[in-house]
Amino acid sequence: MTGPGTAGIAFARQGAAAIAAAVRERRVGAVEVAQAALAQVDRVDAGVNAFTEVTRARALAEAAAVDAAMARGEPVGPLAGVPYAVKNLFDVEGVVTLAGSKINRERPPALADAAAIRRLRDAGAVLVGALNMDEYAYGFSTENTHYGATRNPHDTTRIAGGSSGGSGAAVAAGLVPLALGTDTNGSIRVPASLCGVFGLKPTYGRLSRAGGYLFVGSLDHVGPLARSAADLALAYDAMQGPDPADPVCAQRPVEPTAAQVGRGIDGLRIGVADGYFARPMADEARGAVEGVARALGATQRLDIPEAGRGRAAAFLMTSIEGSLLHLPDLKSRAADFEPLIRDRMLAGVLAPAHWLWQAHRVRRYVRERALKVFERCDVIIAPSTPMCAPAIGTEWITLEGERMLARPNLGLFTQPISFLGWPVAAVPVARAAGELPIGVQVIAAPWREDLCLRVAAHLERIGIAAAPAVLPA
Amino acid sequence: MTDPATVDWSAYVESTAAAIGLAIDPAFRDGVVANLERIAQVAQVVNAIELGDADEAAGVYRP
Repeated sequence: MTGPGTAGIAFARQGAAAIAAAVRERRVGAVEVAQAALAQVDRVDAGVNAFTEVTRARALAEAAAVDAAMARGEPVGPLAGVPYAVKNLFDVEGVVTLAGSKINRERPPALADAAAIRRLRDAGAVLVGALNMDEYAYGFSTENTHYGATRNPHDTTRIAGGSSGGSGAAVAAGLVPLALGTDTNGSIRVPASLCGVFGLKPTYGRLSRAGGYLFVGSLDHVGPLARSAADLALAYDAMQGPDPADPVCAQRPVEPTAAQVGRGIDGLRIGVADGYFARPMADEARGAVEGVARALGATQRLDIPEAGRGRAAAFLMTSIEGSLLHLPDLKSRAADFEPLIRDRMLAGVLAPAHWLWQAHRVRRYVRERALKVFERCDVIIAPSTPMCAPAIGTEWITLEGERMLARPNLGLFTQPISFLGWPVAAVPVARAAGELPIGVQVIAAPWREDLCLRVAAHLERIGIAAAPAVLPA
Repeated sequence: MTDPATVDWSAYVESTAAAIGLAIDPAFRDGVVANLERIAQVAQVVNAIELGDADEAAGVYRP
């Protein structure tokens, strides 16, 4: 195989929309882009540890299929030739679905692609590999004992966040312009914040999760990470639509957003989350929210009723439902679990049934009260993480004098929103050289992903949000 | 409502683990008890809501 040509190299670090346009306009071939992306992964990933599998042959074959379709004059999809990678809990045909675990490594390779991958492939995207994560998605740090910690490209002594840490790091390092993650309690939004990239956690039930290894089915969402709001929209649109293979996926028509993202914020009532979301956080997290609020002219402070109780209920559902999925393995081979989660899993399976059932019933109680916030606004700004990326191995953090466990509390601000199932764009705040990234959540009412993406794109356009690719340092 | 601080969680872990056939390695035991205590603390927040008989959980199963 020859190395990537200069045209491929020039495009490999660009965004998804730019690559797809260049491929469609014949300024570069999809194979050239794929070769350049693979070469980049080979060269850079050792310092980041984002990839657990590189699907080289598949990437080149999918790219060649795009080039062949172009040569025949056939239409190609909106993501034609765009390299992407997926959290390793998504089924990839012929690849073992690890879900970050040692145990699942013994399973046979997947027989078919996950639904989200099939839809991206149909849109012309080119899969280059599978990405590291916390074991069974249970964590916010991607400090995976079996496969090593994923390192933050902005400072490789720090965590990338999790559980979609490989997805955040691969996009931040410019290895791919697009990655798939999942978000149960914050697993797209936390790494997006700590790695300084955009992420979209759609409404619960919007995107099919079929062929993705479950963590907590009652809370699991699929979504994209990218370096611009427009790229998120392209990928999100390609993955929309009902899917009978996922019992949670809603029977909603495709509601395209890509043509909407440039509409600006005129007419939108934007507020800033208060109450629960004013809890202790580092100066940089508060600064990010205040800076975004100022730029949007958002002066209204809003309480999302019962957000704290929502977080507590999400914690119970996660601890119990997320553990019961693994009861057979916990009985037969507990020592093979990730040490960071093993004791939590063993405890979760012993909790009284009443606690889990109460959490499920309280979900509707919280929903009815929390939704009232949208009588006063269309979009809410909230912190994503309470701080920038801590060093790998950090167990405790102190925020405004309050000492707390680092790992679970990285999701302090994301957990109530995924519990409610509302759509969120995770938006990285533009920063000065040498500063660590941090993001904010742009939250809208159920099924209004378009509003999240519009505000995210507006923040990008006025220079408040940015996600430039960085070379790992 | 039961105050979690008054419960013997170590005994609870022992008996419920036996009831579901889960053998816990003695090396993991303290960690399991500590985690269950933490879950119990959080459950207090959720159990504090008094629900009526008509307050159903939101199921997603569709026949």
